[in-house]
Amino acid sequence: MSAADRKPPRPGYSHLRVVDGSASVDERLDFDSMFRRYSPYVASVGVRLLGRDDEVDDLIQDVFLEAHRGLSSVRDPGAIKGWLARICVRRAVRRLRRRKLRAWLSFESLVYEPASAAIDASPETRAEVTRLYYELEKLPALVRAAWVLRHLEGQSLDDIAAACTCSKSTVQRRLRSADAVLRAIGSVAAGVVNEP
Amino acid sequence: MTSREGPMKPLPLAASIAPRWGTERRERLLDAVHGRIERVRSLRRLATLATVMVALLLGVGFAWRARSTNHGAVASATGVNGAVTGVNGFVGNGAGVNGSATGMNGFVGNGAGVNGSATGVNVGANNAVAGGNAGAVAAVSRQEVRFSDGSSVHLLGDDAALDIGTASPDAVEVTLRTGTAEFAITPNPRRRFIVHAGVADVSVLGTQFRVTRTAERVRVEVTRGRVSVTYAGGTRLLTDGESNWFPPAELAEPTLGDPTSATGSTSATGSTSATGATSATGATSATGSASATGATSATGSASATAGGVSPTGSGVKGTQDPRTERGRFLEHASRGEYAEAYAAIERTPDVVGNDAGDLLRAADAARFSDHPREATRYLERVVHEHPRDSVAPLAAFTLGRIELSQLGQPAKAADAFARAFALAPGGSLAEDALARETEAAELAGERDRARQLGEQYLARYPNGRRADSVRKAAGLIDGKASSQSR
Repeated sequence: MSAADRKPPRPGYSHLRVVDGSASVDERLDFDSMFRRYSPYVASVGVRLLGRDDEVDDLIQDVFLEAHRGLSSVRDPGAIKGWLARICVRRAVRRLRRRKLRAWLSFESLVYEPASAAIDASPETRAEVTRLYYELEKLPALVRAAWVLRHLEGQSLDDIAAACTCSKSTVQRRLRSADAVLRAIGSVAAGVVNEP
Repeated sequence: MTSREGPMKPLPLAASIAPRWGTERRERLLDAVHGRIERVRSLRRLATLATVMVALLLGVGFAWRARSTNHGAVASATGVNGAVTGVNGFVGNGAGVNGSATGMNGFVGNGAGVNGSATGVNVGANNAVAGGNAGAVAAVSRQEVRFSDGSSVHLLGDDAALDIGTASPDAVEVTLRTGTAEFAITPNPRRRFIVHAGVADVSVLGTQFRVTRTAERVRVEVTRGRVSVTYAGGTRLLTDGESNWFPPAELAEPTLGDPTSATGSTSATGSTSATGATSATGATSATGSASATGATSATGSASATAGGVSPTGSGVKGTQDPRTERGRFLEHASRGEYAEAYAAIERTPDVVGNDAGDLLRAADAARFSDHPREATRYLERVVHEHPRDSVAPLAAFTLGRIELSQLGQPAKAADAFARAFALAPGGSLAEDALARETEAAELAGERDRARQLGEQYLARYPNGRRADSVRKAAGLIDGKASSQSR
């Protein structure tokens, strides 16, 4: 018996139905179901945005706590995933900024453990990931978010614009800005993104 | 590349950047989220509770403060007897001022003015608080009563004593039992303020005045504004700077005159009116029985002579309590129950006072209960007895309408409209009065008068809203032209 089966049912939102292709359309979507369905997605986006696995738990809690407050007002179940992405980006950007502020206030260089985001990868890959996030730390949080969603999540410009709550042209500008910085410092990431 | 807008293949590196995700971690996080949700809910409940508590505390504080205000007022009022502590304690227990007369009397009641009837607050040098019903009374002290609307009464001299009978936002009735009191009343058309002073009742219309009560007579001196004084022989309006003794000297029994009557009976200049004449008639009829009751009877017979409406005085009839009947009359009239109000008048004609307001009320009761002729008598009394009253033009105008439309007396109607116009040539009714007079004159066959009035109307109101009908009535254009122009 799984842990989910042992827990008493929690109140749901009868007007919401799962509309993902992977599930039955008639499945009722209560908060727990929504969490179980979308928390892996939020965790994936969160870890790529933050570059650290140890902060993802807090991020997920923040995202779903905010989602719980607004879930009763959701009218289009198909928009839940994008809505969660938007909350996740907003919360992650806030954490990145706070992290930079803490580092600046303590007058210490940032201590990165991006390898924790790729703990199961080979040593070479982990080295590349470490290098990538070391350089991404030099980007503004919003620019970094756009770049990560584009090149690590593979999202379209429209989806990125929706997640970042900005226009598509702003997303393009941020991506160009990120490319220029990464290229200027000769990063591996720049080399990679310049590949067709 | 960024030039492509659609989804793109993620970097190969992305596949290795992923959380270590599993069911156990997911469920642990789900429990943590629920724990935080519960904490937020608890905090929200606490915040709500705290808000309610603060609101309650504020409410209790305000209530306590309001009660303390009454408290202090009662304490200072009873301080004469040294019973402040006891009365404070009594009031503080929540009984308030209302209905606590017994307790207060029992504790304080060594003053001559304490009355045990719990009908009001009694203030005087030798007295104490006698009861409650001080709803509109903000503060009571030994020499002063303050009302919540800012009005105040100052007692002058040690012998002054005042009873507060009714004190509500709608009506304040006080009784000056002895001595002199100075009143400063804030104008408030929605609140009646009446001072009972034995032989005279003073209806206040927003003013500053002084009332002195002696054994038989009452002197009213108006500093500012105006008051209406009702006494056994009639009603008198006093305005700025005017003063008089009531009943006036011509009605008072010579032997009853107090030593100050020579000074006090100096009537105010210019205030002699039809009321005075009526009073004189009454006094003449009442020769030999010039007590207060006799004067009332005299008024009744005088009124009967003048209008044939008020047959006998209250001192003669006496089977029904006029005050109670009057209360019923006023209540019915204020509710628009005119048939019942008129029935009360028929049972006890004395329910109708002599002031303009009462007469208008009676006229309304009569005409709306299908007694137009009786209504005209009350309206005529308003016009003739209270020509300076602000309602006199309205009364004359209404009289004209009744004569014209209900009684079919265009000639009388024309005269009434003429009176309405003459009483207030610049008033809001003037234009209509002139127009209706023109029409009534034409209906009465007085064509020359109608023409003359029509010309006068058109000269005064060339673009008046009744210009067309006036031209037609005055024969200044023919009907066809009138309808075309309209």
